[in-house]
Amino acid sequence: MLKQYRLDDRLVDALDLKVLLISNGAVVPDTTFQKFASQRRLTAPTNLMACNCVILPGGVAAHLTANEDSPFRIGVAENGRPALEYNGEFVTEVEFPAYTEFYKQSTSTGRSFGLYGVLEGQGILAFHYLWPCQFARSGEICAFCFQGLADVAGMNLPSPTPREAGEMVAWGLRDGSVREVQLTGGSRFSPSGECPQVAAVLRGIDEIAGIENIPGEIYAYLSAPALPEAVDEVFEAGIDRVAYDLNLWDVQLHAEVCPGHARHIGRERQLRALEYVAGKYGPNKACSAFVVGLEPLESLIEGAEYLGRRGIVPLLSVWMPGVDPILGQAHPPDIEYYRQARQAFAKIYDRYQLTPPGITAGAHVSMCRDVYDHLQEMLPPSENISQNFTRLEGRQA
Amino acid sequence: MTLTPQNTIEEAFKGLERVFQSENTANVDAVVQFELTGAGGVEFFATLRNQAMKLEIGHAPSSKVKMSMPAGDFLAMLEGTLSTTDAFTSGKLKVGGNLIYAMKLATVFKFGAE
Repeated sequence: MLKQYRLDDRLVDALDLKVLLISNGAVVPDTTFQKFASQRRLTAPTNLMACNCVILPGGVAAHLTANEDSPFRIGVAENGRPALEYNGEFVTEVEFPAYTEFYKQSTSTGRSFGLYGVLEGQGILAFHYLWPCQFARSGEICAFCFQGLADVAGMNLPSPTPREAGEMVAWGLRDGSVREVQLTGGSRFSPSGECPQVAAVLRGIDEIAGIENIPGEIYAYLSAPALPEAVDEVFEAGIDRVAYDLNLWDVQLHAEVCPGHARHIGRERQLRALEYVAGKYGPNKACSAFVVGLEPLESLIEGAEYLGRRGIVPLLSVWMPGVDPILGQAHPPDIEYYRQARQAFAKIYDRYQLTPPGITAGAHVSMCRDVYDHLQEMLPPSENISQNFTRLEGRQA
Repeated sequence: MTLTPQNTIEEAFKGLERVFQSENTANVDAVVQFELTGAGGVEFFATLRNQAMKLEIGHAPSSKVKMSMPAGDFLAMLEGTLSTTDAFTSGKLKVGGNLIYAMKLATVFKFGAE
């Protein structure tokens, strides 16, 4: 059961806290960093490329961006453990993931692991940026995307070779810090999208680390290819499932927020690609993330229902506001919006027997695994009818 | 050339004016504190408001983002002899304050060519 915590006059649970932390970040004082960095996985918050997280009660992993303007603070409790505070008041003890020397490692070309990938939650190795985003470079960046800012800024982050990706997975598996793998690259204009590149990376990982040695899943977030069957190469190379993210269900709002995707890919191609995967490879093999907090709840739920009915897993990524307002919004919606969203997604997962990816605490900015792990609590008692619900875990999904 | 605070300021101000991308600052209202360390070390701050930038020597009473870096490396980044990518990934550039804002600033100051 998710415990309740008090923030001023509001009662919130760990999933609410996750949303609020993603939206606001937290003050991470140097004293906190100094105390825990040698014992737990915590990168210096002064590093702009740091990808930190806290584990909230109930195993809920929340992304942690250092922000001195935030009402949240990660301090040290009287018993010496890390603590979440809100406006100076203790909220709850939290935890950082287990210590690893992952970020001290280099690939055979001498490049630091941290240039290519980050560790999320309690065991996800996420290659967030396997190659630059051509949409961002052509001035059509998705408004919520932080990775693409590197391209807008003219930075030239290196891409790992398949061999380097394999070396990183192999090291992480030996170390125990990696239990599942997520592949994401920037969007590409070619008709087969990113499929050939992802397949090459998968072959590199298989050759060096052995895909069968990954205890959880290996999944890829791709732009929908013009030729849906282009993804066959990715499945042949060993992917467990793929996601083509719709981001917003409302077509007009989507075009405003994701101009590159709307113009070069479009809704029809996205759905065709998703339905191709679900039809050929079965339910739970295709996923699609929505950036939750940007569009009206009704259209978000309509989109999730549309996908769920077709065996496609809708995923909830929490919008992390930046400096520029999106669709006129500079701040995320009230927490009640997210509560209704997560309940709606729980019903859809339950109704269509869908399992979001992940065997550990789930990704930092995504709530889907948290919803799934607390499914029965999310459903209203009258609808909690899944007595025979079969939990699918890891590779069996 | 031996770096002094005076020539760091001259080069830094000139360079920042050159790399400032006013078209990317529509929603930016912030003070950015620069703390340049080592030889030629100096403190100054940039006030970004109304799509314009004002540079002043010293320490701002409050700032949204703090950027700390050896002065020589900062000038090299402005000149393009140290890539932004290397500055970020090597840990030479340290960022404090509101890191959500700091990510946006990467597009406001388009440092030297990669």
